[in-house]
Formats: sequence, C-alpha cells, structure tokens
Amino acid sequence: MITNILQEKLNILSAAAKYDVSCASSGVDRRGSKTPGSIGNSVSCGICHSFTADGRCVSLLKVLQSNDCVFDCKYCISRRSSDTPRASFSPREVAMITYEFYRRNYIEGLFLSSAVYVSPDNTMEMMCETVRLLRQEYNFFGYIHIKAIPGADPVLIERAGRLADRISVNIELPSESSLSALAPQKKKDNILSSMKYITGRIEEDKRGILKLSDNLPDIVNSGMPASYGTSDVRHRHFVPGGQSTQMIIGATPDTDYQIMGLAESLYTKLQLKRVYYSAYIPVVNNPALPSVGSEPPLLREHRLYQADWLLRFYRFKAKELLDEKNPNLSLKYDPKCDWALRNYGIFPIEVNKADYDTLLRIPGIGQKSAARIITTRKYASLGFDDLKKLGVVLKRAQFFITCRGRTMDRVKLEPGFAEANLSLDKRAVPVFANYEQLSLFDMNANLLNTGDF
Amino acid sequence: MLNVYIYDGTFEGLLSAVFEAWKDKDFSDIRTESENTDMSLIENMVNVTTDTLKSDRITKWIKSKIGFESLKKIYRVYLTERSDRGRIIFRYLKIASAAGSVIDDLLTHPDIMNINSADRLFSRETMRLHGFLRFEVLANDVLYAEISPEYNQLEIISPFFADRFLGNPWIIHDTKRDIAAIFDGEHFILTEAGNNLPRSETKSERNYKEMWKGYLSALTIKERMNLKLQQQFIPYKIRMNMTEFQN
Repeated sequence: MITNILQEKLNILSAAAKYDVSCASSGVDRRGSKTPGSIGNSVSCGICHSFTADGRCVSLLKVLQSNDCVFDCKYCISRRSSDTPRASFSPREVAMITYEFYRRNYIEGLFLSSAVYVSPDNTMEMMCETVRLLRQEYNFFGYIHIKAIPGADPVLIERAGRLADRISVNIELPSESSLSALAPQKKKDNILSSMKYITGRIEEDKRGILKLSDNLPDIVNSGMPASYGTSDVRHRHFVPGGQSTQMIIGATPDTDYQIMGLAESLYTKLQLKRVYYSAYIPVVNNPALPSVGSEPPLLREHRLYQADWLLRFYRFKAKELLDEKNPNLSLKYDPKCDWALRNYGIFPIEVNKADYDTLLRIPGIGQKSAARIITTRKYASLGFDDLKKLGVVLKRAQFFITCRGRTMDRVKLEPGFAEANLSLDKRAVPVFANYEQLSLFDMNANLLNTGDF
Repeated sequence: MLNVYIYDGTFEGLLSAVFEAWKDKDFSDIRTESENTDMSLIENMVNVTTDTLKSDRITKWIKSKIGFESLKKIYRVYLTERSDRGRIIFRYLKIASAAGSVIDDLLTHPDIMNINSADRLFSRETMRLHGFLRFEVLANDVLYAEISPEYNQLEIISPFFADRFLGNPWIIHDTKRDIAAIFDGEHFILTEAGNNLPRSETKSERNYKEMWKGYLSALTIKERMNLKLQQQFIPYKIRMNMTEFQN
C-alpha cells in the first residue's frame, strides 16, 4: 500500500543516503531459486540499472533505516544538531519497497545503511530484521549490502553477515586525529574491531570452518540457492561478496599519501574487497570544514580511484606513487602517467618482448590491451598499427615504447619531450572546473568564517 | 559475374548458404531478400534452400574446429541483423578452416576484428538491456516489459530474466520487431506479438513509477550535476522504454 507518507519517507531516507558511494551490486554469483514464491538472482559483475543526473550509477535501493541520529559528526547532514526532517522506516516498509522495485527490474537489490538510532545495537537489530524479512518472508535472493554500525554487538554483525551479500563499516576519515576532531563519538577502535571481526569470519567461511551459531536464521534451508564470491569454489555462508569501506576525502588536511597508505593496508591486511573515496560535499558550515559552496574535490577523488585501481589491478605499491616528499597525487597527470614520467629510465619498453607486468606500466596500455598484446604477438610481431587495433592509446604510449626496436615517427625518447607533448593532450590533462583547490585551511579564511571578526 | 547467395533469414538458412557458397571462386556475398537492395549489374543471385542437414554439418564442424564459444559468437552476430552479417560470418569461417581455433587469438586480422567488434556491439546492448529493461505489474500480477533494441536480443536476454524471475510469469515485448517472449514461470517461448497484449495501468503501478522517479531525484547530488555524463551512459535513444524518462 503506497501512501504519501511512504513516499515522503523514501525521499528523506534516500536523500540522506546519497553520500554513501559504496553501493555496487558486484561480487556474488547466485542462480535463481526453484522454491515457489521466491525471486531474484545475482551476477558477479553487478548491473547498472540507471544513472542519476550527476552521472552516477544506480544499481541498488540505497536508503537509511533511519536518519534520526544520536551522534553529532560535524560533516554529516543527519547529525543530531542539524535541523533536517527526520524519518525512520519500519523493517517491513523497506522490505516491501525493495521487493516491489526489484520485480520491476529497477534495482539489483538493497543497500541498507542507517544513522545511529537510539544506539548502535538498536539500529543493527532493526536492519537485521529488514534483511531477515527480505530473505525469509519475501524469499528475496537478489543482492543485499548492509552497513555494520561500529560498536554494535558482534552477534548482530554475525546475523547481518549471514543474510547479506556484502557488508561494510565506514572508516569515515583517513586518520585518527581527523576522526576525533570531526566525529568524536565514532571511535577508531570500534571501527577497526568490527572490521577485523568481519575479516576473521570471512576467512573461516572461505576455509569451510565457519561455525554457525544457534538461533540464527537458517537461510540455506529457506530455499536460498548457493552463493559464490568471485573465484570461490566453495559455497559461501557469510557475506560472499566480501567487505568494503568508505572514507570522505577533502574534509580534512589528510594527504593522498596517508589515504593510499591506509587503503593499501586495508587491502593487504584486512583483505577488503573495495575501498571507496567520497569527495566531501560541504553541507554544513563549520570552521573546521571547507565552507558551503566551495567546490568539492572531484578531480582529486578521480585521481584517488585511479591510484586505487593501480594498487588492485596493476600491481603498484602505494610507496611507488607517493611518499613524504610528494604526498599528493598530481592533478595534472593521472597517477600512472605521473609515475612513468618520474621513472623515465625504465623506458622505452619493447612491446613484443615485455612481460605482462611490465606492459601494465606503460601509459596508454591497460589490462585488456596488455592481455591482447600477449595473445596476438604469439603469431606475428606487432607494429604500431596493430597496437592501435588492439586498443592501445598510442597518443600516450608512443613516448614510452618501441615496436620491433623502433619508436613511432618523430618521437624523441627524452622525458622532457614526453612531458611537453603530454601537456598538449587534452585527454591526458582533464579540464575540471576549478581544480586548483584553494587551501581552505588558510588561517585567515577560518577567522572570517567564525564571524568573530 | 559475382555470386550473391540469397537465404530465407533464418540461421539455418545462413549456414546453408555458407555450405553452398564454400567452394565458389566467384563468391561475393550472402544476403537475405530484404538486405538485397543494391543489386549491381555484375551480381548474379543464387537462391538458397534452407537445408537443416547442411546447417547441422556446419554447426558440428564449427564446434569441433573452433569451439562452442565461437558458434555462440557467430549466432550473436547473426542476431545483429546487420546487412553485412552474411559476409562477415562467411569470411570468419573461411579463416577458421585454414587456421583452426587459433583464429580467436589473431586479434589484428581484419576479418577477426569485424566479427569481434560486431559481437562486442551486440553484447554491449545485451548488458544494457539487463539493466535498463523495465517491467510493469499488470492487474493479474504478470510482469510486462517493452523493449526496442537495435539488435534482436529477445532470445539472448530471456534466459537471464527467466532465471531471475523463476516462478514469476512475465512478457517481454520487442515492439520494433513485433515479437514477444512469454514466460510462464518455468519456461519461455518466443512468438509473434500481435496487438492484443493487455495493458491497463493500475493505480498501484502509477504509484510505484512515481516512487521510483522520486527516489532517483532524491539521490542526485546537485553539486555534482553532470547531464553530459548521464547522457554518455544512457543515450537519449535508449530512454524511451525507461520509466524514469517517460512523461
């Protein structure tokens, strides 16, 4: 039964959720269930169902269980001291909307987060009930991503993980000092211990030694077909899509070096599937934060994602991209190009001989092109025309490669030459409005904002 | 005189034409009647009778010589209904007979590139349909969707939606070709659509459509507004069957 109230709630609680960007529908393979009355499957590549006017993909129903928060994090529109309209969904309301949107093929599933309503445990109980209803009453076997509220009882996190496909705990800010300055009620220890707990359970599940506690909903017997994470051979019971997290960038003076260092250890030590970076959109005036109306750091966010991809798919280490002397990613060049210019000594690379890892280091050659080069060169050596056919961006790669021992016409193998020509390439140097972000931590600016002067 | 082989538009017909044209030194093209618009004076039309014995032999040969995946690729290129599909497929098979399964690694060969890029265009549209197809719930609880794809996708997308909505009957109507896939909850069939498909919008359906539009609008971050980017992902021509872009 749709009422205006339900529509209002949906508008409030999805507007409040829009800054959480970790909402992909990927990572899980699950076929449809033959159980009568069931619905839904999942594909590991994820599916984009629509795109909003800001160009972002929509694949899930992304809502908060409630935006009535007891915390007062300075950057958040839902913070306790803000005077935004408050609403809460009952678990059944969320389950119903998810089901109705899903059967119309609007979404892949549900992304459920929440403000801290009364307490972390109380909030997580409501969220678990929503997800339980979906799995057990609606027999919904599409994708579910649930947020774990830091500080919630591990029993509740356990329950959530048994029902959902992916779980995340938001790390929020890149350093402990930022966290205590802007969100003092969110304790770093709570966040990390929840994340470690989840990592541990995922590990046990992968090894087939997950001990399933009593009193937890038995999804397997309720007709849910086997779920597999990408490259899992064993049927999974606990968040088959793994764990992810998100941090806000641009709200604090933390450098890209700190951010990427943190991301790298989250990937290597906690085996996270994804780290998301959300450009801070100033929604509240506060002397500790960039002022409302200032440009969000979209280009910086883009560079961080590019660096993140280099870590995950191109076998780069964070320390190759950034260090204390160069703590921020170049805005002018993408991180791979920038690295190549700073390490010009290893070029030029002969594409007919180099191995896969080396090919990946060449600007203009991505994973697909590198794989195609390796496949095709078995049968004949490659010339520049061939590279173009294989999807190599010669406009960039030409300064870094040889084919059969020769460079492209008129290319000089000197770093200065490469840099001068790359600067002219519009695609290599994006035109973002106002990408020279002024330092908003300039003392004078702060003084003016407080209104004391 | 160059020989153009005319077939009946079916896949078996196309393969029968391949069979007949195989040893022809004056081979020019393989087309359907409707693709045969620009007949030149030097072309000689050869009518091909569809023969399943011939097409089965070719199918078996493809599976053993290049592989089942390649057969599927050829079928998808056939479904693109593009006017040069007969020629592309013929040339691909000719190379296959010379080189065997390695042909799929010869990525820079023009005939391989042709078939791969046709396949890529087809598959891109398939992926889009998985996401952008929109169902309505009819009064009898049957799900109904309309699509108007550039290529003939019904056969390829139906298994996906059959698995996802197992137990939930649906109809997918390709309005461009006037054909429909009908799923009873277990199996689907393809049929001609005719024009008596039941469609009256219930109040509840209207409400859910409005909810969906409202939801998308609430999700938009105005500080990141970028209609150009949105248009890159969803070109205008695709929007006609998507609820959120209607009215």
